[in-house]
Amino acid sequence: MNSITPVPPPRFFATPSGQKYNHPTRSFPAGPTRSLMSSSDITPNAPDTPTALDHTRVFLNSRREAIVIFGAWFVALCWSVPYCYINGYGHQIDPETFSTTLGIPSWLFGGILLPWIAADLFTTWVCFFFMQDDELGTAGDEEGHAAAEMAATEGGVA
Amino acid sequence: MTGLHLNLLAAGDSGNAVLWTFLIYMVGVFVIAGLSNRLLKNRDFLSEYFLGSRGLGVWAFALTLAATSSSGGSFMGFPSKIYTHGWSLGLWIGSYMVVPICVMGILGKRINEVARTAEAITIPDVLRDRFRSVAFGLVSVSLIVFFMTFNLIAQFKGGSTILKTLLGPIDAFTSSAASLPDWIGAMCSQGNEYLVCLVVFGVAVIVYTTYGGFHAVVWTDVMQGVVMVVGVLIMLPLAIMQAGDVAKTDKGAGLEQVTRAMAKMVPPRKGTATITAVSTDQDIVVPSGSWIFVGTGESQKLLKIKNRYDLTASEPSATEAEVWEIVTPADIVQVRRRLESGSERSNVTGIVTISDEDLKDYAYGAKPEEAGSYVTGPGPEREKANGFLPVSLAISFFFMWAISGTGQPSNMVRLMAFKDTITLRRSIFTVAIYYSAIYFPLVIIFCCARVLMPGMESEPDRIMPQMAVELTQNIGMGWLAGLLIAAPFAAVMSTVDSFLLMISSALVRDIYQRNINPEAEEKKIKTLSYVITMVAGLGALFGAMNPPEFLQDIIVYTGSGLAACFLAAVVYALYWPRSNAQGCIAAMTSGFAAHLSLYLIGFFQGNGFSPYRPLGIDPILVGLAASFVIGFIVTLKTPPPPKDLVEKYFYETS
Repeated sequence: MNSITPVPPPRFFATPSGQKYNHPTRSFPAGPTRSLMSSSDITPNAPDTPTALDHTRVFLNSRREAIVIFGAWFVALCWSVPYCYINGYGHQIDPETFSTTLGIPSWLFGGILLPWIAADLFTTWVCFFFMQDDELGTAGDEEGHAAAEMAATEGGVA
Repeated sequence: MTGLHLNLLAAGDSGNAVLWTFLIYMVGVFVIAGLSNRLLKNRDFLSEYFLGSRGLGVWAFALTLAATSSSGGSFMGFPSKIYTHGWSLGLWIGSYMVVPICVMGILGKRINEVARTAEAITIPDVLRDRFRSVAFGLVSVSLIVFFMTFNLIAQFKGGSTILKTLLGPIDAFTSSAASLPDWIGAMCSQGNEYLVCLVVFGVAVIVYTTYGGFHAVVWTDVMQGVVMVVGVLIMLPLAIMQAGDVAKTDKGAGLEQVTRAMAKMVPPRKGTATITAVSTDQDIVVPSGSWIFVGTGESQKLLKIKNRYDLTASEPSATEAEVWEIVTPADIVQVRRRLESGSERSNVTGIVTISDEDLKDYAYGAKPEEAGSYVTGPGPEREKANGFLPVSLAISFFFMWAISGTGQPSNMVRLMAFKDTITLRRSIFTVAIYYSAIYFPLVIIFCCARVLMPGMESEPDRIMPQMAVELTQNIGMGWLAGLLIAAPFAAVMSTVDSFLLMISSALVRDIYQRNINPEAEEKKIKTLSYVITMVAGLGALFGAMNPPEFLQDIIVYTGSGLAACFLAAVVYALYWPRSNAQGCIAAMTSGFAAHLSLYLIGFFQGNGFSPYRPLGIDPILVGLAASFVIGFIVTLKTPPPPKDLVEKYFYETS
């Protein structure tokens, strides 16, 4: 069963007269399903205006995923650089008592290697549980390719 | 003398292994090109030649993106930096933990969709059709050709330098290079051996790229990607085991012993000295990388002579010779051990004398209060008193790898080629694992190299092949060095072929077909594609015969410059319905101008190709900030885009 996913109307359109079109807004989260959205998925409560079009699923999902991924990069930056700076910069050390973890300097283990493992786990989650499968469309050259392949196959059979 | 003999013998064995590996590798590359050329039949030529018919599966897509991103720098420059600056390179490369998901996840799905909607084959194609702006297409083509041409020349030089390093020990190679006629040698400022390697490398890449197109590039990238990761995974345990045996500190085992040994290291002193032959009865050759012990007892010093000197009866001295003094006691012991075992090239103690020494400490890392600089931040640095990686630079590199990588057109064009979103998801995961298996292990391997092979600061770019030979010979498997050494060669080749195809696609598709002759027949386009790819390659090859200075800096400049130009424009084009051609062109040109201006300021300040960094911030950050901000402002100050264009790219059409 496909979930019902309301989508926002366009917010800035150049109308034929050149004026900016502002539509009343509401919250329209992207749906969590991997299925494609058809016209029947539009909620009955969606704004009933002639210009209310649906954003493409790919656009909505990609934007949501890009924000989460960018956030992950920012978290990595905010963790790694300060951690390494606080624990690994400008310290006078004694080689005999210098702190290591699995042979790696502890400041680098906590600042880079551990978050690296966490980042791999996050990537796994994004790839297999968060990122949506969307239909990307078909380009004209692909249709030509498919037709050519079909023709070649038929020729071969003949 | 016996040691020297053994060493040459070993070098010869590894040279033959390298030669065989290289030949097998090249045969594989040409077989792939031949198979790829067959795919061009029965398909839309341009789409297949430049984009692989948008049909890349998981392995092809993942490894071509990973291999293209890993240029020669990853396997030559990066190891030499690790060797020179120690563990702080872990932070320098740290943002690679999120590079795969950023580079592929932020733009991937959306740019693929827009490229299909626009039926675009290149990035300028996407931008031109997304905004229905010929001017935008031409601006982006110009920038791509500008940056890629410089980068290609630099990569060609990198490729031939690597090949020269690999083939150097082979007699047949050196003798055939020496026998080149003078007029041919005069064409190249870098010497005959470099020229031979440049021609071999250049012709090979040009031929297989021209003949096979995108699929040849992709499948050779896959092969090259496998070679890289296998090489690293073989080296890792060997390096830890062998360096741990050498380190022998009181505490810990394996890698911990290596780190504790590094904690005691003090950076070497670099300078000049006069070398004089002890005896003038006969000519003396001082090979490059020779060692010499000066003095006796407590005050004895160990120096490494960087270059080769031919001392004769008429000229028994060489002045201003570059020398490096090893000051860490454990390193001196290890060098002595290696000289006795024949692992080091030559010991000229007693054959020449050293005088007029003028040696300088590193600007950071040599003072007592900076002890342990190889295991702490910011890492030892010869020129700058604030160390190798001050925190402002560490932040810049977090932007540099992940964000700048996202803005590379060579990565974007690959994002247009994957088959479906399942392929994208699985590929991101694959590349994440792939990078995890390569980058941090490289840091470990070349920290181990510091312990195993002291004194390589004088020729750090040779550390990768030297380490491969060292590790494999120590376990009696010298032949394996060939596989390990093929990794950097594969890395640079996979980058060059992609850039070559980007330049030719920009000229054929974006300039000729879209602007000059839209009705051109496929046969004509096909011929033109082959010719342009070959001409672009040959042009870069001739440019690399007399390459400009600051090549590594040029690579950094072009990489960060492309990101400063393209990232904001593409992000706005893909994710902001209100964006328009004016705003995105402004984003692109302002990023270019801001980035370039910092390089020009640096140049006029007398820093050569080293840019001016306001508050220690890299030009990539300034360029990106200028691009996003100015693009945003100009967009809002100019009319919104046509409604039908927004509908086409952002809304479902029924």
